[in-house]
Amino acid sequence: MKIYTAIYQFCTAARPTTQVGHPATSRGAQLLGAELYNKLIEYLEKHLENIKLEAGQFVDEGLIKYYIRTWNRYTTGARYLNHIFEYLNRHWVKRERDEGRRTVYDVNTLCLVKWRSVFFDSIQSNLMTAVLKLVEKQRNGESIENTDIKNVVGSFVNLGLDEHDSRKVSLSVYKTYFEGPFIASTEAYYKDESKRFVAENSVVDYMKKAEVRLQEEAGRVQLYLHQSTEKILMRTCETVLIYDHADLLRDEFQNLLETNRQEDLKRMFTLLSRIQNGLEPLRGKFETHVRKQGLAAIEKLANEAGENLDPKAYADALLEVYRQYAHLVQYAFNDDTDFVKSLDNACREFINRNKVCSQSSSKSPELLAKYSDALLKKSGKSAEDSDLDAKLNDIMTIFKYIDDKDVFQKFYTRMLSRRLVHGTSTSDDAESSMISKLKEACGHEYTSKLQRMFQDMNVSQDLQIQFREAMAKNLDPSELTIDFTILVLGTNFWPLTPINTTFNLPDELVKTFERFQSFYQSKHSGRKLTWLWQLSKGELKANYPNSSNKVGYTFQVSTFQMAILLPYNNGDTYSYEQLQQITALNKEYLVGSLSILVKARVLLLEGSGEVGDPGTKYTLNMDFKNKKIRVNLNVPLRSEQKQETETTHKTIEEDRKMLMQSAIVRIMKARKVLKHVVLVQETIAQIKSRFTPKVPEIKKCIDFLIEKEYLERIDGDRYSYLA
Amino acid sequence: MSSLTSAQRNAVNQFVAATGATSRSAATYLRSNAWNLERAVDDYYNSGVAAPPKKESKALVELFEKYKDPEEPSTIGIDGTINYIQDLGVALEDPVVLALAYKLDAPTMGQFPKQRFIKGWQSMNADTIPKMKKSIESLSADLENDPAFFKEVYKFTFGFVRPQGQRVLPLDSAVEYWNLLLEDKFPNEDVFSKWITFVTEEHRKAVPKDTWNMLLDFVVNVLGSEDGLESYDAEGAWPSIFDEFVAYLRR
Repeated sequence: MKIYTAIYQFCTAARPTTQVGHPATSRGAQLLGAELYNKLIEYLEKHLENIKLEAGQFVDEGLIKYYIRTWNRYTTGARYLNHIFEYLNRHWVKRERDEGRRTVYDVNTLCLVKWRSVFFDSIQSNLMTAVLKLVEKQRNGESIENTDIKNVVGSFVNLGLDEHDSRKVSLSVYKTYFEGPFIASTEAYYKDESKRFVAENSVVDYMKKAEVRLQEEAGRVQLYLHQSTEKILMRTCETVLIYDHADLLRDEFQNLLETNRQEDLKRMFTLLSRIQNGLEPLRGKFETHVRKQGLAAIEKLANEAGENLDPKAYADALLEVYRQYAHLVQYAFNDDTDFVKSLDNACREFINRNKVCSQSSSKSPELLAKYSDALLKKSGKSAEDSDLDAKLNDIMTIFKYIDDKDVFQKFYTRMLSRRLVHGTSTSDDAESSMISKLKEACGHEYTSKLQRMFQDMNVSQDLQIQFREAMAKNLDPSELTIDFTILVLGTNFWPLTPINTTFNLPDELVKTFERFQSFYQSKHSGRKLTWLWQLSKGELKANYPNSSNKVGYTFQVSTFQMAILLPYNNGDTYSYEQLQQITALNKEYLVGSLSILVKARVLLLEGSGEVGDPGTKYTLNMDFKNKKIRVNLNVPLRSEQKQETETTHKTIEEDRKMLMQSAIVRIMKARKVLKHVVLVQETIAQIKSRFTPKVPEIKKCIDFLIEKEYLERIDGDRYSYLA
Repeated sequence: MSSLTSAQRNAVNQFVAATGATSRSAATYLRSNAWNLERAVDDYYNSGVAAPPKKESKALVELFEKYKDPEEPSTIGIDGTINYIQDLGVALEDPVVLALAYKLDAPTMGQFPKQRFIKGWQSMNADTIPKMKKSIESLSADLENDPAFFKEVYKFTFGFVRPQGQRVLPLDSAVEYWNLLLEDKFPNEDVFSKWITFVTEEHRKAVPKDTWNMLLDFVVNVLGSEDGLESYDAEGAWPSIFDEFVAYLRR
């Protein structure tokens, strides 16, 4: 306080008698301030010269220690000085600076400026050498005093003075004298180290090493560097450690994929994702690899299974490949969107264009639909509910990649209709769960028919009840001896078609048939009922008079078989021609139905010859024996199944044409005039979600529409819409 | 046109025969007159679109009378056509006959309705057989030298030779007229005969108008181009028959 007062007095005492506004006044004070200021400079310079001299005897760590020690003392002193010279700071220095003299600083700053010009500039290069040696020691695994470096850094930062505003910190000194050399030495160090390491170790080990090194350097920033260095330091390390060896790393990628080294793949991903475009080449490799794996898995399966490829095995094989790599993408590649895309591309390839699909790409959706049928159909080993839902989700996973979603739809509809008609569905819940999954994936239109089918089933059940009630009211119970169930289904929503054979309904059933027919017509006049005899079935009770089996057998038969068997109530033997006359069935169905009865030995084929040969005779087997009391004779005809698959494929072709034509008409109706190329593109875009249309097919549809005068060619490559 | 009933179609034909208008405008006038033929014709002449043929050249009328169909005096029929063409000194299978039919706007083979006949020749400033012969000569030259004119005649031919009431041209008549018109437009005889083999043995379908029209483009712009077949772009707007033909050629 005393010194402060002295300075105050020094600065004010000499002030001449006040003449306000006279320039000499300020000049007088100025001179006095300047004198004091210059003396201070002199003193500081002398002091620093001594320090500089003393510093000469230290090197390396000793120099660092010395530097820190003196720096701390000096800066503390500088702060005191600043307080003491506060008056000078506030008046003389302020005025000088206001007048634009930038080389005059407040006392604290002055101390730092002098430190820098007298001492620091001469010592910094030696000091940095010492610091860098220390850092290298640490990198080599020795332990060092982190705080020493931290203090040096702090000093460098504080020396960064803003010439214009002493309160602002500028990092210029730190950047130039510390960061620059530090980064350069880091680069050199790792360049050398990585080169040697790679030469002697495996790529996998190198990746581990690089990972550790990167972590260490990031830690170093926290330990003693200025935060602003982090970016450039990391970038330098990434360049030297990753970028410079990126090709080497990438060359290892295939190897790691093949040996499924997930940890190492993850490491590689993390490393390469740090540099620009580091992952780019890997995505292509990954896609190719997944595609090959998928194709190989299916080829193996196809070779083993041959013709009888099990839909479940097929779906499982696809899923296994998908799961493996989906997991890899998630675990090792951090669900990177581009890798997800590569996975999707690869899956789409091996799911739609594998060996099984070599003849037609519709094989995949067909098998997938068959697998869902197997899951949803009642069977001995029905899956648990939760299990079933998981499996249905698996189907949806593959379904997502299927190109020909329309084919799946066709087969699915067909098989669903069979499950519903024959009552073989596991559960309504599972069915509707699957439909809502499909709806979610493909939209309302895709499943509307399926939903209509369920509606029809419900409506039909109500109708059934009404019919029963009506009959019970009007008829004597003795007239209602036949148990009768019926499904009335909308022609447009069900993939069911009548077959091309005539058929005489057995007399026993005619009454029921007529009753229902008139009941239905009275409810809905004008609607036409088409009876699908090939889908109807019944049970016959067979009592054999001289059998030990008192209960008799119950035969589950098709209506055709029923028509064949019922006449045997009146006679023991019928010839083929007689049966033909009675049933009016064509050869295909009569022979098919008969063969099963003969095979099950319900009927016996007399003499030699094949079933269906002219003149063959069929006798009721009075000694029929079977372990079961209920005997199922209603097995589907082989030829029927195969034919069904064929017709399904055929209807798909036709549906596709319709789909393309209506898309083209829709587009043209909206756009009126369109270039050919654009029309083709838009058509593909509209249809893609169902199947991938081929350009020649689209062209054929355009040809057709021009011919039918929906469209008109207006010049070489444009069409216009004709209303 | 396609949506017309047969009665309406009939009315259109009568309208055309009476006025020499195109069938398109015939339909327009008939439709706006509720298909009343008389009123439609009145309307047509009153509209001023077609000045009624007031100053019919007497010479032309007389010439027409000479060849007209005795049973249907408003037109020159088959026999009349044959005689007329012979009198002009032209062979029936000369392409110029098609050019003439185009110029006289003949609706179909062996028919020259009176109005169109007179109007056509008036526009060519010919009312005597010798003058007509001169015109025929210049038509022949145009066919040879003026690609645009040839294209018009070629396109006209489809409708001209197509059987009435049909959308497509039977393959054999298509081949016949290709022989007549297009053979020397193909770069060489070999390609032409390949085309004919292709359509008759591989494709074997009647020829729709679009195929007919585009064939000329195909021959001129693809086969006749510098790169020939190489310049064919299957992604382009070609009807698919050309995709198949190109594949056939490359086979």
